[in-house]
Amino acid sequence: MQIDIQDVTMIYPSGKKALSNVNFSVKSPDFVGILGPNGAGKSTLMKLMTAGLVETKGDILVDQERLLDNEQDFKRRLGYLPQTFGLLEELTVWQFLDYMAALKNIKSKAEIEWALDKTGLTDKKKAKISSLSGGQKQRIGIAQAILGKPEIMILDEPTVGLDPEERVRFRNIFSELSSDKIVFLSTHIVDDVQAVCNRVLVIYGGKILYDGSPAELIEKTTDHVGTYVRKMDDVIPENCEIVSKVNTRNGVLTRIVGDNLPDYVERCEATLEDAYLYCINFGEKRGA
Amino acid sequence: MMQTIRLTGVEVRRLLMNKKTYLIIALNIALIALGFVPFLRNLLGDVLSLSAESVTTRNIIYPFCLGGFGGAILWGISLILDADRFKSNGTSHMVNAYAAGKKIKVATLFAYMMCAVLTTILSVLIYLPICRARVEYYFGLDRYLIYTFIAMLPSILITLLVCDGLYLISQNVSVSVILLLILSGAQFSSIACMNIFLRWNMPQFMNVSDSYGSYGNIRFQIYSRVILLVMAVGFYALAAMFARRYQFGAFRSFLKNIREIKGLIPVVLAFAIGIVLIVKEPFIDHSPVMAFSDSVGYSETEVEYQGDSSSYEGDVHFNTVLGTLKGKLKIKLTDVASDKLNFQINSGIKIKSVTLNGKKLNFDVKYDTDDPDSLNLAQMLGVIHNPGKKTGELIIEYGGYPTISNSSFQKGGYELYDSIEPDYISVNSATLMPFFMGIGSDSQHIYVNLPVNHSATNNGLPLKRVKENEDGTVRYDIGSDYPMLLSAKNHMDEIPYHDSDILFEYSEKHAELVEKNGINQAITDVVDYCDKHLGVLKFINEEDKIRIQMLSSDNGGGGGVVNGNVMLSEDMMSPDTLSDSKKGTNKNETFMHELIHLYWGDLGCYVDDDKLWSAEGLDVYTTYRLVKEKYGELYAKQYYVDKWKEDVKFQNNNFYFRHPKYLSKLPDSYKTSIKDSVDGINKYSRMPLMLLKAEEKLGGEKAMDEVLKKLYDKGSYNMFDGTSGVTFQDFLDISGLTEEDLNIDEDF
Repeated sequence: MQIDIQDVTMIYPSGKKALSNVNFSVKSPDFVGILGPNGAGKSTLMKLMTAGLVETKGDILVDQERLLDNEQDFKRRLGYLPQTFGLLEELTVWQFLDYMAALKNIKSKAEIEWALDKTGLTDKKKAKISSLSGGQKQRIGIAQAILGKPEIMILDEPTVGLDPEERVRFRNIFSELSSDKIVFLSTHIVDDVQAVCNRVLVIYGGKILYDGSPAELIEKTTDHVGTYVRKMDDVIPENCEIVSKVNTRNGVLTRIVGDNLPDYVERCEATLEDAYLYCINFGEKRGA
Repeated sequence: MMQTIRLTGVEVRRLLMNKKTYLIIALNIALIALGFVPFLRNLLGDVLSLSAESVTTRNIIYPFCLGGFGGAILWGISLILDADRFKSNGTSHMVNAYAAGKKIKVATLFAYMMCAVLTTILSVLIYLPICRARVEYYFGLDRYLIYTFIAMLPSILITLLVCDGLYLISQNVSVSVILLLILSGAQFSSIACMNIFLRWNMPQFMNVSDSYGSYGNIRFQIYSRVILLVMAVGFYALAAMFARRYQFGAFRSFLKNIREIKGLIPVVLAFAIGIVLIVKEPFIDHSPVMAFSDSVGYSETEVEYQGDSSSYEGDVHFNTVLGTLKGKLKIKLTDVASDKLNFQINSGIKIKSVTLNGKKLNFDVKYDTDDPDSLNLAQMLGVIHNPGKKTGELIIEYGGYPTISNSSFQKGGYELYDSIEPDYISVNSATLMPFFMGIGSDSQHIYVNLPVNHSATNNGLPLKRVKENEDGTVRYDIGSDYPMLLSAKNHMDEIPYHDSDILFEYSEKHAELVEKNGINQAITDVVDYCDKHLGVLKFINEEDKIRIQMLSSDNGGGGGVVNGNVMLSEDMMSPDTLSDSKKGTNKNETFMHELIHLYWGDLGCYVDDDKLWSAEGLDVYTTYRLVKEKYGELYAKQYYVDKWKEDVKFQNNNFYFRHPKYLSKLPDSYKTSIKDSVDGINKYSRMPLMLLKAEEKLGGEKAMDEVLKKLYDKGSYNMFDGTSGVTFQDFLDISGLTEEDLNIDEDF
């Protein structure tokens, strides 16, 4: 499967421009992490890719054909977890997944059992959804997305509401499932992307600032990350962004990214988080 | 398609998992029970605009119509809320990613419809024993199933389609619910009441017969429900064009959706079918004028001479299942007065061809807007063009489905003047054939071919049996120049009366009721009493026996006396009427009362409101005297005299009766209700008390009987022909009493 996003611009009827001339291609297997601050255009991009919205300009191609011309066919190959979703609370977990299976045209009940197993919901399958916790409901959302092992999975903030252990478990499941598929993972949790994605898209202000491997993004940030101990009255160096601050006996150990770090800032190895912050604050295309 | 079916299954299961669904089912079923509450039942009678109420109507149609209407609102609102929940809680984001939104919406709609079907089935089962017990003698499972489903299910299905459509367009719960309530309320407006097709979720149902099949009503109801369902499907399909696509609003989504031909097809198809069904509907007369005259009365019409014939022969065949007739009329014209021959015909009966000596003649059929009575009877005026006033054999072939007058809607409830059903055929002259007035004939034979198990009369007179046809029907000769055919699958009792018999014809369903209530004995009691006190019936001899014949109540109820034969609507013989305390207390006293009309004329014959004078009052007094003789003075006093007094006291206490000038300030419905009550008490209580006073003044019952005997002798010959019958002045003249003598107000 191949998805080509060609020069896509999305302007909402309200006039708000959410995406601007976005271009990229994805070919299976590919696990793409999408990073960007709130309002950057991540969810819009995902909705466009699920045919929930239609682009104002440009084309989205699936296997060289326009998505909107083959919408139904594409939907049969899709697994989608929206950022916010509601469940049919009056149903049991099994019934809800059966409902979603019907929507996805999945006939085998074994697929439902498999999804329940993968999401750790087997023992809850007869429980009414209304009786479950927020985390369990999020797992149901994930279960319906992976139901039928779709060729493309679009996951918008899938690990929100999960405890750290579950988060790790799920990102490993996603990784496992991505062996022959396309997975888009939109998240604020950079660690998740670093852990499982072979490719990362950084979106800011409706534009793609970076499209490549996490390692390359980190590589680009070399010499642009450093730490120094800041006293109370010290000012933050110009053109730098603080990544983290840790209080110590000597002062605040401050980690910053910037284009030209002052000499007193001790250079250190960049993480993906540093690279992401560097990208959205000092990236080449920013403001272009 | 398969996916939609599977989704529907899943949606049904989803609904059945929800406690709210069961709550709605329970509420819907409970609403039906409200239809048995007398107050609501009376209200329903007004809403449904019925002019007669059979036991079946009151105990099946009313409750299930209420269940259908209430259920429609409940299920409709529930569907709107459900659709909105999908949108507002984000479920739609997820489900729309996997399947076309339309499929999911259709599946949800189907699921609701299936729940409505389930509710109807449950209701039908739960109320079966209750309705069976209430409808008693007349209950038939097949008819119960048909009536309940027609009364309840289509209303809910139509409403579900409309509600889903409203939400698809507005995407707003409040707007959709308000529109639903407005549209539901609007159908009770006076405009909507005139058009059955505007009564979309509260059908303008009919009075169904207890005794006969009411096929005409059923055909009409099914047809109108099908039209509304088809139109609702069209509306839903059109509304689906507004289903939001992507980020677009209603208008842009519509423009996108309309490009898809497959979405447009159901819209066009449904509306086209609906419009064709409306235009081609065979049931209602499409007179351009909503004619309305209170009564098609006894007005004398001067008949213009149109010609003469040596032979006048008609042959009519009925299709009792479809409700149609076809016929051929042959007139051998020997003289023609004009180059135009006029006739009247029911607007549903179409002239297929007109030939004179084998050559085709032109003809026109149009509404005669100058004749409200004919419009009132759904009749049209036909004109055959006969240039040169040629004589010879005129043959007219015709056929069709008799229509109902559209003016009957204006009166607030429709009536079937003509019925063609397997167990009941009742047709007027201009329905049976093109009806020519003013063509004389030496030999007139109108042959009708009727089901073998029917007994038939023409204007109350028996038909001459000609032969048995090969198709199992029996050929009769009506022979009359003004045929009014009544043919029904009836049971007949022969009650001896002098040298003749009184023939009592009633439906087989009445057999048990007649036996239980001793109706035959009541008939004998009445004629014995009346013969002794008033005089023998004048219209009876060995050949021409008196018939008491039952009419189906779906022609509006009531009855009359024709050629000295009693035609009683079946509702006059229902258990409720038989125990109507206004007319008598023992079950058969009401029936006695109706029979006494044979002596005094029927309800509408003569009424003089100013003098409290009516046939009805004479009848009530005579019934009282009969009961007094039969059951004793105490009984008669308790259930008649005391009750009359009580009624008059009640009437005198009525503010509007005492101050009639304020009556005009009331809304029409109240005014009518009060006026009806006053009229009723005047006829059924005040006038009998006045006659009781006359009895006292005259010196007792014997003297009174002498007066009544003379009165009967004076009036009996013109009692039924629409003239004034016996008047109050006649009574004063014969009795020698004055108006002052008969003033009962001084006694209160």
